Amino acid sequence: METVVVENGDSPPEARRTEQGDAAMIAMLRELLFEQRDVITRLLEHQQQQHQHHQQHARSTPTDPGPAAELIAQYRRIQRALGLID
Amino acid sequence: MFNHLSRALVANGFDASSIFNFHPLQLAAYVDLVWETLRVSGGGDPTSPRRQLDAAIGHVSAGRTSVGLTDLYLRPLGGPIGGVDNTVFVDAVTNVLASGPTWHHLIYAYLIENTRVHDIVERVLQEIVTGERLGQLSPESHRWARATEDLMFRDQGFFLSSLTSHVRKSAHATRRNAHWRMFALDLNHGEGDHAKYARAEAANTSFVATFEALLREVWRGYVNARNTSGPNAADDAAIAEYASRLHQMLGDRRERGNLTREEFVMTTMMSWFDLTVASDTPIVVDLQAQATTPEERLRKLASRVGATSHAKSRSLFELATRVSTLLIAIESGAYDVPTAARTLYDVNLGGFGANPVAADMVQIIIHWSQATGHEVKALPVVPNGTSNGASTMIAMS
Repeated sequence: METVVVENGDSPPEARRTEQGDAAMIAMLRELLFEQRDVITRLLEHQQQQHQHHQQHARSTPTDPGPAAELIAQYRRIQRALGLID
Repeated sequence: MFNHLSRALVANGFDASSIFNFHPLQLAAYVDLVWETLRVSGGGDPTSPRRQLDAAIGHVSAGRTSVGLTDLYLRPLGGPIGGVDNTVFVDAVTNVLASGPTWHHLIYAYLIENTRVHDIVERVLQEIVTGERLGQLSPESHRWARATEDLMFRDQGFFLSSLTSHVRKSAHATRRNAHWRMFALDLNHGEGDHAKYARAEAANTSFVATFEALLREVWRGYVNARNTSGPNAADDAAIAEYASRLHQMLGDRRERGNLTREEFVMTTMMSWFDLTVASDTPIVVDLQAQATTPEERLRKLASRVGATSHAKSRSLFELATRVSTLLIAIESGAYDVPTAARTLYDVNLGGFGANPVAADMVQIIIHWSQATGHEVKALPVVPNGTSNGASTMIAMS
């Protein structure tokens, strides 16, 4: 993990402390960052699994058409009446 | 309507082109018979909004249940011609009537006529009856020519010519007037007397803007239909609103049966031309216009008579039956509610790729964009509800 070096005088307090070489603070920040990275990694893995699950579900399991079933049936009836399908 | 008869012939083991062997009197009888049957049979799904004529008017077999007009019409001719006799005809007509047929929405006639097939067939007929430049035709092509001329181009002839009279002298003008009233649209071709018509005050001037707004919302729903993360921009309420507006405005033009006879005649006429180029029919073969698609056959037929078909004919053919089906469904009022909207854009509703409505909507959006040059896959815009102008929406070339 690279430390951030801020060169101008308007640096935020954290950066100024980093510049001052506060070893304890650097260690703590590093720890926090590692922890956050683990959390984010786990979140990403979970989201990816969920996405794959949804995709598989959409392909393999018919979605409940609900009120659409009658609309689809009506559409088929119209197509049949127009001589477009048998 | 002629596509029904052609399909019935195929179902009975005959070629689809057998329809062109029937005598004009038989074909005219068929059209009139279907019209009478549908007109007096009352409403009912799927076409009840289009059956508002008073069934008692001109119902020559009223009060009879089995024999009447039907019987009279189905017995006019005897001997076989081109392998099909009157028994074949009667069987096919009976099958059509038993299947509960209906006619296409007026938009079908508008889209098919925009391919210029009507004018191209007219030119072909002119060549056939005035000279021999097209070469020797087969007996089948001569029968097709006679039937086409008798049914479609003879003033004061059969039912399909019945839209001309002393009060509306031009069939072209009658068709344009109907397109104007229903869609506020003109055809993309025609000049001189062919392009003159009476523009009614009552016209659906916001049809195109509303229809395209619906297509845009449906496309947005289609793109977002399977979102598992991020925002879902589908707006079911907007889709229902546009569908409801279309339902109302189209219904306004149909009050008490207005435009019903025009719609039946025009869509039936265009289905004959559609059928003529749907396969390698005798006239297509004789004019060496064989191809694998209707638009290519039409292009070749046009080139034989020094005419040109519309460059977007493919999209127009693809749109015709789909938009017709969609508008009939919309006019039933089924899509006036937000809960119905998903059916228009989720192709996997009810199973993977199992939703024909959404599948057709995608094709409509693609081909509408190509035929009109209007990009309906862009972000939705709100129509102003007034007018998109009175011009054609199909590009001129």
